Amino acid sequence: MPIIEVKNLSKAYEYYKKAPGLWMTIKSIFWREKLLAEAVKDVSFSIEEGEIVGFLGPNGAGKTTTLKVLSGILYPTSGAVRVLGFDPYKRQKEYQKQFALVMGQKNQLWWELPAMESFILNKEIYEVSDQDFAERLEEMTTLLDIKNILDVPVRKLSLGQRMKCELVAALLHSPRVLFLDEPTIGLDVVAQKNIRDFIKKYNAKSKTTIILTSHYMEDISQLCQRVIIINLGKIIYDGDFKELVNRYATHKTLVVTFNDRGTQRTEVESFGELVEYNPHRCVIKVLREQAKSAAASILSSNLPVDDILINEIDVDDVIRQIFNQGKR
Amino acid sequence: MKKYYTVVKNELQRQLAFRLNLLSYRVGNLLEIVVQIIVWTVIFQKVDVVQGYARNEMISYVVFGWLFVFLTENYGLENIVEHNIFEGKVSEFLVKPISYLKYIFSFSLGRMSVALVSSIGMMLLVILFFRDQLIFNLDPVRALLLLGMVGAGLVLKIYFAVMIGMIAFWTQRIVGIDYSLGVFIKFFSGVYFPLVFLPPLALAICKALPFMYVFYVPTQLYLGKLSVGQGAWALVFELAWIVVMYFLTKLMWTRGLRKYEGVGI
Repeated sequence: MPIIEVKNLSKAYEYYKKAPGLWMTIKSIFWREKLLAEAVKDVSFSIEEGEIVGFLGPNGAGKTTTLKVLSGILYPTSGAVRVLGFDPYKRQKEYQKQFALVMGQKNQLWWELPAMESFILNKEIYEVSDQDFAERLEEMTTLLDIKNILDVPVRKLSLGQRMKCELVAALLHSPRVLFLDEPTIGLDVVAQKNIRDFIKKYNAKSKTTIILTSHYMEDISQLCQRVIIINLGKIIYDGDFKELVNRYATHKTLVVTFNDRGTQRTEVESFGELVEYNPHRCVIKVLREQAKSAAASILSSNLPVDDILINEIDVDDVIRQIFNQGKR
Repeated sequence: MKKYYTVVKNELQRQLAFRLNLLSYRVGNLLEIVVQIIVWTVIFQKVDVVQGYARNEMISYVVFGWLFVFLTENYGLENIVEHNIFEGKVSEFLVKPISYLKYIFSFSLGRMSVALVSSIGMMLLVILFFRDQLIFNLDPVRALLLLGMVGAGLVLKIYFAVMIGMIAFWTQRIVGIDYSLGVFIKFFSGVYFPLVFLPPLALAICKALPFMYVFYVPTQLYLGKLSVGQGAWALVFELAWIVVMYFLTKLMWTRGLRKYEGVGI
């Protein structure tokens, strides 16, 4: 029995068209063309309890809109959505107590007060018992290593520290479903990793179902087995992340370094497509299945090979390729 | 209910951390009061009575009326509501088991309380300064009625502010509307002059609107221009208005949300 079920979901927004310029602005006071933008079109998927699913797609693809529908902020234009057996849009208390939404670009913590005050407010909002509150707070603040900043006003915290506090605030009521909208946006690599590790550990322990959106492939590849790729409001892939990479990453790259004598362009061109060339280092793109044999033949040739590496194509490249396909 | 109490407490703490914010209203307030007193002092140099108001009655009208304003003031709560809407903070309240309307109410109570203390302090100084020109007469029954009116006026003014703020659901920003409605409310509540100065038709309109309960009515009661019985009825009407405003606010909220969802902030 899936915990999240979305069937043929569509969401359209109203907006007005206005040509640039002062005159057009004045004109638009009296006459505006009302338009509908379809942010999500006929999207269907279902998610089982305990899964972490990565939601991928370029800006404006409809990821956040989908999360907003799932959390009951937006009313679906058409289609059926059920989470934990609830219709999110009804905004029932029983549902609200079982999920949380974290948006990396927004903050729910009180800016001028220490994070602890916001935690206590959430404790009261979600009616968490004193004991549960103390236990969960202790556990999460230890995991995230933020015990020493709980009584510092939030506005004095770094972005990374603040995000950690946001996560704690969202998880105090132990939600069964968690929507994370770009939780690592703007963070440095260390902070990104901290947040990622925390989410991983938290999910392993509490079996919380998580939908995560991120533009950082590292987040997705570390956390999500399954990804749903959405572009221009439509799902273009739903399945295993590794398989996706295999399917789209049709090539591998060979990075070959040469000794002091170096090499000529013509000598290496025959092994595959030259992505980068200088006499001492070449990057050669070859088909996946030919990667091994190409490497072997480079090694057995009389070129002064010093070292050879076989690399997977960068996941970012794969995703870029998929996003671009969607555009056509 | 504990969640709303925590909201009051948090906001109170926030205000204590940023005391100067609302304190800075005081300077402007003081000037407004002084301007009105100057104008009336000049007028009363030539005449003894204006529309049934003697000089000390008029000065009392201004000073005690403003005291009433301060006791019920929410310091631009409408702008907070406006910001909550166009910045999308309202979404937070749609995903959590907490009501936005109750939240903003609690928030306002926490927000006004620090400023309340300073405004009472300032008004005590004003009263002390003009003590020779003021009327002091208050029997316990009137005092009780006035206290009721302070409470009701406070609630009523929060409703005004929240409704004005919610216009942002449709217009995003409310700067101009906010200003105009503010002046409108001030006018019809009698802040600028006693409403008896108005022609009968305008006075009838005032009586049909809820605004005069937050300035004109309580000062009339204080000055003895309304009997205790009339005062009690006025309080009943005011409470009825609160009920009406409650439903209007809810209606506006549901309608506004529909707009909010459509735009998808």
